[in-house]
Amino acid sequence: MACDTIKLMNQIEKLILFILDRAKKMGINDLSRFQLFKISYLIQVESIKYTGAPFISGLGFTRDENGPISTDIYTGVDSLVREGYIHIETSKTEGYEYRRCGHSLSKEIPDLGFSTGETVFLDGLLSEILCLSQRKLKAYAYNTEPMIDITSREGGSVIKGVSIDFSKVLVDPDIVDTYADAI
Amino acid sequence: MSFVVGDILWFKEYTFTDTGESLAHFGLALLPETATRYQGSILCCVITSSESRFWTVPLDHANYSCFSRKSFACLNRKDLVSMRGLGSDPQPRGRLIKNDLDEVYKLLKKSLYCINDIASDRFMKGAIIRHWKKELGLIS
Repeated sequence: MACDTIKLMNQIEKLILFILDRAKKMGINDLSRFQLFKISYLIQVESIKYTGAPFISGLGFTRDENGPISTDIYTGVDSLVREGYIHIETSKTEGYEYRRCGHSLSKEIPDLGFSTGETVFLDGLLSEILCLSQRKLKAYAYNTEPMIDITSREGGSVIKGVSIDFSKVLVDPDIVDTYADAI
Repeated sequence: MSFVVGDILWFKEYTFTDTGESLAHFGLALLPETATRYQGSILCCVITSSESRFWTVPLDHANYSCFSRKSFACLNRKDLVSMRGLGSDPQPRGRLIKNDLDEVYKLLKKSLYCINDIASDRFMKGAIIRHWKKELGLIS
């Protein structure tokens, strides 16, 4: 039954579960919506940079007040809540207008079907970014080519809703070189 | 135990992915332990004392107290080796000196695209290059 459910999940839902599972294994009880957005965004950027393609094709992000957000992630989270895989607990953060939404796993997850290579890639990256503070995570996201491109065109005022252009991400020159060597 | 790329590990049982054969060997960590820990394994290339002209980087034993003779990191033999095969502490037994790190990285990059092995997967390649560049200080 669980395996059938996993087959029906899309890649975005599987990625969300993977991220939350690794957070749990690292002793992080929950992740805010902000963290889920930024971590998923950074996975897409680093995947383009080091593999030449996004980790999940079709996963889109738009510019919001605090950086990249994704309606695809919203939809994925909603679906996983309905299916009982995750739950969200809201709490008030001192000095912050909005309530924090903490996302965590509700039950053990079965094998998500990621390949060994995909798992290794994700684990290597997540071990570095899951433990970052929100401030550092935001700085990391803002230091990527698509966000540098957007902020350079904004002239100081945030233009919400602009699609983030992943074609601005430069593939790492060593990846390009080694492909060129092989040709 | 926590390993990073360039660490030299001693395995009482180093199992080769292609043949399934297990032997006592040194291995060179090609990925940090954080990338493979949930699979209970470490991506390594075997280190032997048998010289080969191709795909090897010589490691002078004068620079490594863990080797009793000149040894060779074989970048044509990459394996996901079970952590259960690790020998007793202390681990790692050594760490590549800067010059050897640079030499291994050069040959490793070539091997990733010329040799069809466990690291041929594009995500595995990307992870290896990313972690080596971090270790060498080529990216932040």
